[in-house]
Amino acid sequence: MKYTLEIQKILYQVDDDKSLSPKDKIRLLKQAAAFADENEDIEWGYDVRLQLIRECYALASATDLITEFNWVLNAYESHPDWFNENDFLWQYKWVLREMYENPQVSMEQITAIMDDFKMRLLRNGYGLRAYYDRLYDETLTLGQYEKAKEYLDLRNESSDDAMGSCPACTLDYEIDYYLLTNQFEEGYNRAKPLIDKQYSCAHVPARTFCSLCYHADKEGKSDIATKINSLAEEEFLELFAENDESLLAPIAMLICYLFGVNEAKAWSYVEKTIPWYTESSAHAQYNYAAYLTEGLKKLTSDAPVKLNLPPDFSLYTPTHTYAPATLKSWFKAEATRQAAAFDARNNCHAFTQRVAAL
Amino acid sequence: MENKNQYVFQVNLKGMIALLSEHIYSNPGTFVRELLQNGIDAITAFRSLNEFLEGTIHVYLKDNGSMVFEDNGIGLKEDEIHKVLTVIGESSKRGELDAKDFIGRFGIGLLSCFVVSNEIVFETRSALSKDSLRWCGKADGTYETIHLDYELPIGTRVMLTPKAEWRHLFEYDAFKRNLDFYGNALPYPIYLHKDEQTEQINDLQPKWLTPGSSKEELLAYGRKTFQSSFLDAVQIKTVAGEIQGAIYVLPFKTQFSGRLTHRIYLKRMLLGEEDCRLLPPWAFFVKCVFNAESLSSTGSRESLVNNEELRKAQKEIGEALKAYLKSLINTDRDLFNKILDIHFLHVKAIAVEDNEMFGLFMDTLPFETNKGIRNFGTIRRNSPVVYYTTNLDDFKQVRRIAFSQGLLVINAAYTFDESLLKKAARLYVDMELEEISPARILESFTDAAYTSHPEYTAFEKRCNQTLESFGCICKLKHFTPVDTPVIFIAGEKDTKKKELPPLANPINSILGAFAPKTVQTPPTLCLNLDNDLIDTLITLDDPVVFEAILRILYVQSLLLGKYPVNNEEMNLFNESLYQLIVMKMTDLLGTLHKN
Repeated sequence: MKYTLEIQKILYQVDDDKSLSPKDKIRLLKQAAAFADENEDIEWGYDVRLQLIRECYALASATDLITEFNWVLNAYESHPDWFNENDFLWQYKWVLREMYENPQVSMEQITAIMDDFKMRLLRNGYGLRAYYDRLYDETLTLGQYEKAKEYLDLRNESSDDAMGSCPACTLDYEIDYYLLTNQFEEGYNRAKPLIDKQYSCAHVPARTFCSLCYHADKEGKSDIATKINSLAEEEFLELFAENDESLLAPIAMLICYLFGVNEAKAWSYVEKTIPWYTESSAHAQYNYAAYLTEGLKKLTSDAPVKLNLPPDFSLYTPTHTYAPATLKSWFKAEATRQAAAFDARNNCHAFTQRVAAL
Repeated sequence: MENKNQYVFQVNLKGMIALLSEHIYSNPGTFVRELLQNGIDAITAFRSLNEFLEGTIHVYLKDNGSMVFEDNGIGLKEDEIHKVLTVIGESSKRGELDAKDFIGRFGIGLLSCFVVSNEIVFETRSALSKDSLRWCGKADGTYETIHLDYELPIGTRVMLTPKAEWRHLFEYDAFKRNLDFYGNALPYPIYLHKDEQTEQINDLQPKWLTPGSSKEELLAYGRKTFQSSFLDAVQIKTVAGEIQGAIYVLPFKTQFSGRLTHRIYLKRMLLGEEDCRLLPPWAFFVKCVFNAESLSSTGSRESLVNNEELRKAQKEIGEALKAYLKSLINTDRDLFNKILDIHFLHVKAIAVEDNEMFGLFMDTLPFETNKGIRNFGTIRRNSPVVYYTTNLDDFKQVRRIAFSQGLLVINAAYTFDESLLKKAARLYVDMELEEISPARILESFTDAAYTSHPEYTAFEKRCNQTLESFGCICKLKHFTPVDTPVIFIAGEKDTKKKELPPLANPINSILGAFAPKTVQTPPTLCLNLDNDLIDTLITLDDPVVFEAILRILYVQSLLLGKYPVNNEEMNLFNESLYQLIVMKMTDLLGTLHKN
């Protein structure tokens, strides 16, 4: 059969078969890319990889995203007249996030890539909203709140364009600032359009609900936490069904809350999400481990729990029985290990200080 | 400041009807369902006052194309008639029926009639009043109420004259089809009248709702309703949602993404033909007929609200389906095998989800191996180590080599296979699972004795120099079968990937940070030390002949392994062959001349 037909057959299967998980789709699309490569067909290779990259959004591991995106970028640079840079600028934002989330990527490399992204935005007629968005998010993660606010203002001053986040994501990112700077009421009030589902996106409001629930609980606003938790549960019904592994870190916030109010539910979420842990980005692992450490501290008893965890999980036992204290120590060690790697890269102590306080 | 300018929104009835017909209801025949629903609600409301009432619905199709829909339910009082269109939407709950709910819903039902008729007339007498009334409403929102000077029986008669474009819906066969479609499970008799002809539409005791119906009766119903000869049928009952009905096992293979039609009823009124999430996601191999007594419908009354109760019901149905399959293993093994032959993918999906089902089914499930399709039980008995590949590329490469090594390898590139194998490795303590790749097979070949044979090192070096331009390395190994001189093993998970030249792209520099943890094997041409040809090649000094033979062996190994061969490689193959032929011919001619 002609290879182009083979490729189209795979693309049809990927589009049409609703039962395929993101991993299955990526596996198929890689086969399609291999057909294109075997036949030295760069145009098909490019198209297939664009779709492959889109599917990577729901994956915990960034390996495929970065590898395939790099291929696409090289294809564009080799044949700028064949392809349109706009095809992949949106996905470039995902790459930016991933490089920050991997402590093996140095600050020099990050700066070079951010400059490259900025250059591509400007030469395609876009503003710097997407660029500042990333800087805002990263400085917020590092606890540099004043700097984060500066970037947030710069972002808001930049004109909105096709590279800017959608209203739902924009609002979701913004709310984080208020929640992290002890302005819960302000954050909660601003989140109203998301709570009322006037705005929504792939992971929003699910992500917002996790954050709101966690912070409401920390603020002692249990009514709000209860209400938001039930909204979050509705959102996760769909997302769990889709096996969206990229939600590992936000769910950890919800799990942390649930350990204080509904242990059985918390364990069921742990069981569901630990299989995603191994392949997740270092940053997602760090957050997950930190929130779980915090959540497990809320348990009043160390009675063993039965969890169906995968064999590649470090603490796996064939009896499926786990002691919460062992899990807590392990997650704390994981959080500490990752925090050290991030702080070394970021040249600060923000992550290790957070873990030390747990 | 006091706000004195308060207004009430004016809702345009015409716009509402357009909204209903174009967006909310999926087809114009919906008015039949709404009329039936009104009739049933009225009868139910009356039966709450008089439990001996024998509710009936009569539909009369007139010669002039109009229709009369008559029920002997509770009827409406004058003040309730005025409320009919004013309380629409006030309550849409499907719980206990009180008068207010009934009126609100009655109004919604009437609105749907405006989709097919410009005017609605209904005559009614309430069980709680002696007044006989006629209400005449128009699509522009105006209506009038008249007190009749004669006494109507208790109940309601709705009279519709169809718009020209919907006249066909009021023809006998079309109307009967719609009545049957929506109302065939309703608990009160529905009679359709035309001229002198009267026909009861519904079966008051449908077999699929009757406990203890025989398999033959259920299958007969399935054949009639779905036009399919099912493999089997089984009755189902749940606590959540109070669902009762039957599940039919399809006699043909279905796609997970395919759309199957079912029959879902709510309080015995047809809700729709989609499964409304009542079936678990893996149950694409069955059709169902279900009636739910205590679930809620969506605004369009064509689907169920996805709430906790629905999810519980889905879980119960899933459990029942698993229990059914489980029981078949003991009671009807032939049928189970037949189901497995057709629907093994769905059974795999169940086994992935459920440990108990896994234990029961795993050994019977078929897997693709390098020795053909084998069930897992056979594979497990074949060797304590179960080998598998996770992608088709690896399987294609490994298949041939593994066969010669006597290994049985599963192609686990298919949906669920890898998950099932990993689950098996966890649950069966005596089983070892090993992911196999071409590189691992290469490792399993016996190394050449380089120390005692220094010529091997020199030979490998010559080979590497010859094939350097192909990015391929050469290794001398002992392997079987001995008549195979060379085997080509492509780079792991990197089958001939076309790498583009790295350019001024800063992301090139971070690839290492995201590289998979495993070390990749470069493409390798494995030369068999046990093969005579290779043995001779090692001693061959003529560099031209040596290179020509090695290149031929290289391209031949690509062809045998079904790897793609590019133009450059093919040209080299042809040139080398040509070279050898010419050399041999020259030798031959030289010998002839000498003689």
